[in-house]
Amino acid sequence: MLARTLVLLGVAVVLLAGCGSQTLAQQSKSLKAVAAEGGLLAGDAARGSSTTVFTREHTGFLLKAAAASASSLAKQTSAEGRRLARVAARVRDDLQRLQQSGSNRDVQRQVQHDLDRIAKRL
Amino acid sequence: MKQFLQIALGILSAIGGFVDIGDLVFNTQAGATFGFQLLWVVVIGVVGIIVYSEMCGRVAAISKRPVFDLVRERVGFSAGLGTLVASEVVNLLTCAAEVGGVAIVLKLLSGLPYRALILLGVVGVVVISWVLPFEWLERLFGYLGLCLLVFAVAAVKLHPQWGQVAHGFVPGMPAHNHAVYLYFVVGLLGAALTPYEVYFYSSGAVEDGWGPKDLRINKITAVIGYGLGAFLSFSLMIVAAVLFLPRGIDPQFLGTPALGAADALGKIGLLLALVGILFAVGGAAIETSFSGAYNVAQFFGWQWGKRRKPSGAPRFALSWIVIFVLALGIVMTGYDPVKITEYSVIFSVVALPLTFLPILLVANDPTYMGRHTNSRLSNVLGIVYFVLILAIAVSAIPLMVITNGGQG
Repeated sequence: MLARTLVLLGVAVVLLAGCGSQTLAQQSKSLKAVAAEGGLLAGDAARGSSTTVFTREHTGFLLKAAAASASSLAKQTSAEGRRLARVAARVRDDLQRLQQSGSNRDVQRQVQHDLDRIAKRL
Repeated sequence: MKQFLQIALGILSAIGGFVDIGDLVFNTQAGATFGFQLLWVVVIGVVGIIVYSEMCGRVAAISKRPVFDLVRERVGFSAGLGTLVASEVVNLLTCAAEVGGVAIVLKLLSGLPYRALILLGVVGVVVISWVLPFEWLERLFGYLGLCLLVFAVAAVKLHPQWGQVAHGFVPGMPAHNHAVYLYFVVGLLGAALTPYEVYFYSSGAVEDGWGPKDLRINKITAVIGYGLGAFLSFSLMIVAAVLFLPRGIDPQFLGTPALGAADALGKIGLLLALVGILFAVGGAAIETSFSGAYNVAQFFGWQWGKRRKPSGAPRFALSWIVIFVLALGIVMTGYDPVKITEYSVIFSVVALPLTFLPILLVANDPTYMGRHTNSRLSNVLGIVYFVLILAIAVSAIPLMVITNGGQG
């Protein structure tokens, strides 16, 4: 009986937690967080404070989040939604450049400036 | 030196409880969302786990009875079985998340494919757990997990405003975002008081052969071990408050805390942070798989213990291996390990009160404890924390749903 209650409780919470879709404001906040983290990582990489492997792999996680955001925002029809979709695509492209930057500090610096600027504007 | 080596049980239990994969991200999120304002919660949590760990270590040392042995005896078969099911699900989900965490850190260090590293990680921890004696498991994962102290150095190097840090130790409520704040309060307390910490600690005390002469080392182990765990939580929160909050970073990945160490201390800081995280989550994987095996063996009265050869406790040995295999299956589905720990909270809610109540009852029973029953202070704290545990149990799931898992 207790085990069945637990299973039902678990399923209910998983469903409830998963059913809320993000508003544009929440998506903008998430995008800002990804851009800001990418900017910080790019800055560390440009200063030689990160390893090439860590920069590439951690950027991979951020890139997945940015790509998911870009793909979800691409369906938006409002002016604000379309603006955010363009920003998300730019964040995704910057992160792709960072992921492929290897030890090229110039690229990393450029990505840092771009992502920091985007994060401040969002 | 001997005493330093003896406290490894407390350090491993605390690192597994305070800075496992979920806590590393959760503590960092707490700092990145509310700055220093939640530091006081860690203090409340650490005092609670010290009180109950000291109690269950004392019960184990005097009566030679670990927690799950007492759960069945004190709450009866049906409620005991419910607690067993809930705690086994918590152990399994947490073990899966830690195994995923091991693979993520190995990926951040090596760049090899994630799924291959999950397999490598599981094989690695199973072989290490099989080969090494219990005290060397405690020492290896406990002391190498201390590489996480790099976050304390990073916190100092980032020059926080120490006045504001001190203010964070005073309980308060922010002007807005009350529900999210309460979600973090309950989450941090729940993380400090996870049931598997006490299962592992009390069974470890029996494994380490503690007796009445070890009551002092029990106190020292609980205070220093969990104190270190809390210190690491403070450090993570301070780093996040200084570095991530002003930038609007919302830590969602296991690599994000390591970024804090890299920014403050360069490559050495980054590598020490990753090694510390690797051993902390690896230790937590072993802690949860062993806790699962301890619980089921103690509940059904099987022979148990890492000190015995696998042939002497075959069902126990098989149990922790099965938990690792099931964890491998869960994490191979590709589900985010950090998210997995969030769902284990649901089952902790049931396991928490029924785990801590028998400890409190037995620690007061002279039939088991002789003259070593709880002092008045232990009882007052034990009761206050038990009420707090009930409050956590009641509010955790509603807050998780209302705040969309802390996202607001």
